[in-house]
Amino acid sequence: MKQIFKCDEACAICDKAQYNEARFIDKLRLILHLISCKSCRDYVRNNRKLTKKVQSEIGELTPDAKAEMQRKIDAEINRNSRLQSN
Amino acid sequence: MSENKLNPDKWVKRYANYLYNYTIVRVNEHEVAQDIVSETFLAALRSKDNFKGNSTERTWLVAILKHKIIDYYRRKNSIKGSAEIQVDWHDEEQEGKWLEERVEDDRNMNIDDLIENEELGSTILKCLDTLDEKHAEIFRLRTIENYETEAICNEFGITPSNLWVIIHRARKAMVNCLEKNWIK
Repeated sequence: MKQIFKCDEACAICDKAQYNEARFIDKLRLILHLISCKSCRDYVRNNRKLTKKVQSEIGELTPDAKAEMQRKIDAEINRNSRLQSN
Repeated sequence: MSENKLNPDKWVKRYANYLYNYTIVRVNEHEVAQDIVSETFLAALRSKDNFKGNSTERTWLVAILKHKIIDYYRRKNSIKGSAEIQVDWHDEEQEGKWLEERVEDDRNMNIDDLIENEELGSTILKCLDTLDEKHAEIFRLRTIENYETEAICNEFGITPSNLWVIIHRARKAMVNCLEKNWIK
């Protein structure tokens, strides 16, 4: 079977899929491509592993925690600028 | 971003998750880590005149963070919780300032980062330090800080296709690095 599209494009779709930015139609095309392409299958497998590894190892601060930090920083910046203007 | 200037209003968005992850592997308590990161930002604001642009903003923040982490253990290990000592001042202006408020950035900091991450910490952060600086930054913003693609493109003045090429290279390099370091 002739390749439907190139490996570069397949990898690009796989990358986007890791961030939920791949279109459904592209994901279908990717799957079709993978049937006949070993190197892209390897790439996809490793890429998913990386995503999982990042998700398992990297924790995220909640939006509330971030907002609280931002509030403290803003307060400090304001305080500094008040001190400077006095 | 490449001129190494400070943008305190963007710190939380850009570095909070990264610093949090750096901290959590070292203190192992969610709330403590969160407080330490918060204190780090404030200490950085108070000492922003020490930043000369020799290192990246992130590296400088990590250097301050390290002092905060040490402080935390110092406090924790002292019986009365009063082992914080303000020492080692060299002039009157600096007198009485906390050590972390006197952190200056120098070029060796990047090397420090590498060594530290080698000894302790996550393989992800360690591998991130082996990437090209710009690629690492973009990968970090998109993957760890969850920046929107468009926001990163605007910030770096690149097109989405540039961004995906960079992400692709970064992911390939990360996979290679992780394969070498993966504890099986």
